[in-house]
Amino acid sequence: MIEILKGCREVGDTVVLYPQNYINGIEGEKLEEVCGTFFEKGIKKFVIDFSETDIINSIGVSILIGIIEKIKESKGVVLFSGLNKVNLEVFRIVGLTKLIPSFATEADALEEMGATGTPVAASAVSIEL
Amino acid sequence: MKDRSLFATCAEADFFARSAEIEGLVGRALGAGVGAPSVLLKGRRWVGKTEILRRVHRRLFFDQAAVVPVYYRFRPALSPADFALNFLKETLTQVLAFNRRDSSLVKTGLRLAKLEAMLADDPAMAGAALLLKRHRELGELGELAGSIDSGTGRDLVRNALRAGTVAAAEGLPLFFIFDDVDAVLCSFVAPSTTDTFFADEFKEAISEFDLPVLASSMLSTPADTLWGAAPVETIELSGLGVEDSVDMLSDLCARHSIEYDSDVLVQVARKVEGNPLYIRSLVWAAKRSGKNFATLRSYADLYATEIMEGSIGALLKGALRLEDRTSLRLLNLSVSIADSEAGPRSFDAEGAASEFSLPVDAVRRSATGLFASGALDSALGTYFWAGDSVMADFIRQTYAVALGGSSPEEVRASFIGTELVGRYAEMGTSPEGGFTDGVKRLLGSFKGGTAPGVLFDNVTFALRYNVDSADISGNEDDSRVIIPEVVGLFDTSGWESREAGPPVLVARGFQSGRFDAGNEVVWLVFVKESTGPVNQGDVDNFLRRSAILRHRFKGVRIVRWMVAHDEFTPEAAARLEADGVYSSDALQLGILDETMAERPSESGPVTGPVSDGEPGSAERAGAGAPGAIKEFEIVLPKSSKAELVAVKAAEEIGSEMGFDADAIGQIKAALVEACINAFEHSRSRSGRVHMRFVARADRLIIYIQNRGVGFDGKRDSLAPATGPQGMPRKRGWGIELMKGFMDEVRFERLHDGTKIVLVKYLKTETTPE
Repeated sequence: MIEILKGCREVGDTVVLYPQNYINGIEGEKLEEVCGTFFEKGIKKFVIDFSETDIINSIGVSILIGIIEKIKESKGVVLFSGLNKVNLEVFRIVGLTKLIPSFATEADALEEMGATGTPVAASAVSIEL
Repeated sequence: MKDRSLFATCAEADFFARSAEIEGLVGRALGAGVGAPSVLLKGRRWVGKTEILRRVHRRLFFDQAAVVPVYYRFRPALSPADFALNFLKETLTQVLAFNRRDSSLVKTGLRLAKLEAMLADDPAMAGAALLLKRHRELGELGELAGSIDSGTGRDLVRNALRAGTVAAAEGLPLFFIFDDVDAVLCSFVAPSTTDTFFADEFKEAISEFDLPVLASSMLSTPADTLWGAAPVETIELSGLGVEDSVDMLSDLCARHSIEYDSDVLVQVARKVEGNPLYIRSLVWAAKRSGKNFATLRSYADLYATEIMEGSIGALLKGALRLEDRTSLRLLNLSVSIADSEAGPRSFDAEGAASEFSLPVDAVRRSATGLFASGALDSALGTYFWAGDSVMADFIRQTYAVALGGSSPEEVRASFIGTELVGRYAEMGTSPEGGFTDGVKRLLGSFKGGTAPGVLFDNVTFALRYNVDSADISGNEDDSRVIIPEVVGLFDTSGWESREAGPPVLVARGFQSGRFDAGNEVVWLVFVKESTGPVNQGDVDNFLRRSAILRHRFKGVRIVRWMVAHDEFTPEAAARLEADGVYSSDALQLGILDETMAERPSESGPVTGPVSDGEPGSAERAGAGAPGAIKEFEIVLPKSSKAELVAVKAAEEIGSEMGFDADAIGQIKAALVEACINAFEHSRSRSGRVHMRFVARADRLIIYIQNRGVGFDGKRDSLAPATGPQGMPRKRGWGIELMKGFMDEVRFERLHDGTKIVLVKYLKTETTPE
């Protein structure tokens, strides 16, 4: 058992992911792994909330693109929220903002997603690898 | 085969910066066919030729099947018969081992009978077996005749050297790797004879073999003499570059917990000319003795010990084989000639014989014997120094003790002094100029006003602040010294040509902001460059000279000031106080320098000294004036998230400069990309990335420099922005991000790496977007 993501929570049929302060290759791969785990559970709606994320480097971006590809291939939905100005600009430069809607807050994204049900308390997620 | 050991090589952890050479030589071996040129790797002793050759051999032995690699190291003082047997055994054993893919045969070796039996069992080695049989027959014939005379010896050598040709005829393309091939020339295969038959036979064998070989040599002559008409290309192998050497030194020091200073390591690297063996020896000596490379003094002490009585000395003693006085005299002569700045760079046997009152033949014999050491070489009938600077130091010291009549202690003291002066000069802080230049700069920065009196009174300062640093800001009760506005600065060297001491600095100026005769002042400043306290003698010297000098400035107020690295003896301090002479040490000067730098300047920024900042960084400060510059340097190790250290620095610097949060965020994002690029393209062993932040009044410039493969910043931009299904491409966004966030992004190719320059302007009302 190892902790692989700072936090995430399930809100109805949607999973909200909270990446860490700096998304580089290692953190990106952790994110990818967590997404894969929820995928296996049949979840196809994801909100990635970047409120705590200060910097996303280009390697992190490339992994995020890979995650989005997988979600889209399986007819899933992903939304972004809480992006700071620079990270929003990063996504604009690479062309992600054309593909993925971005919302100011997690609540806005969840509302757009139409998520229902009582939120599960945010917590560190441990997954058997 | 999991076990990839064959001939001994150094541990992987100790192997530095020769990968490119090895790759190149392996490539040439595999691409070489009949008629291709041989390669002669020429380099000084212990620069790593053998290591490279053995690693090439190992690669060829384990990783390919096109050629059969055979490594042979020529050894001194073997008789022709012994050489022939040794060469045959080594060659045939390696061929057998390669054919059977059994490296253990090479590692453990084979007895002759066993080798013969194995060859007899292998139909592919029939020709090789015949060579061995022929060798035995020739040997027996020679013994029957009573001795193996030179005729038989020549036959044996010829038979052995045909191994390559015989193997090629049997479809086994041998790739010979001849280490120390210059031994063939030096008659130390058969030291008792001047017969050149061995070199002749070697040349004949190479010509007949017709396939290229790889060889190493310390001397420049083998290419001309041994290859004859066969094509050969000489590749010069020098020591490791300074950066690779410093990488190696710092890596070894870190591994053995030896304290070091990077600037000192640069000096060590230069001194040993990147010789890996010397580097290892010095580090091991430091580890053994508990010494370090933290200061030039400690390094010089360590180096002197190593040369005179340490492992480097022992190695050189063995390599040079100084068996007679003539050899030592010849080497000392060649070193002296190499040292001289003018005149011929070589000498002939007749000249040396005349100088030493010796027969010419004796000189020639000694000189020829020295070729094998790599210290002496010859061309066009003259001899010249071919050794390195460490070897030269060894020769000088050995000569001084053995023939110069000096005691070891005397030589050691003189050597350390010379070494220190040389290294100091290379570091740009020569004992003659460094400290004095700093004082000159300080005097030049005097722009009037006052400064705390305690900075000019060493006794009070030492009593009040008995620590390594001092905060004088809280002592408002201090007296103040009037600082002049200096208008002229020179020294007394033109006036005191007969004085043995250093010239006195003369700073002429005005005080109290008034340019009239009543406020004109001359400061006479005596700078004690050497370390150690100022003593009574220094004070007497200064007082005597200043009493004479003051007559040159009649009617002008004279201020006398003694400045030194270290403290003042009580007697000296008492005398200075009694005579009203100011006294300051380096710490007081440092604080005074900062005080002066903080004052507004009308003549541009003052460049202050480099001071230690955060670990691994340095700040060069000269703030306070328009266009002032602050510089920060950081060295990042190649480790996870190391770029965040740079990001943190950028955040602090950008914030202090007045960038807003958005701009700082953009700088951080661009900087992270630049760091990733630098790490990705770095090929230095440490993978370190050097960064410099230059904070100007209107912009922040960040230099990110790596060592390794270059890139020009165009590659990523050429890739299409989108991939299949309209998704963005995954990789290669770094450069676009940098360009998107910074005002200027430049890529500069260096000879061994790349420098990225990022520029961000402070946005003001007048700054165009």
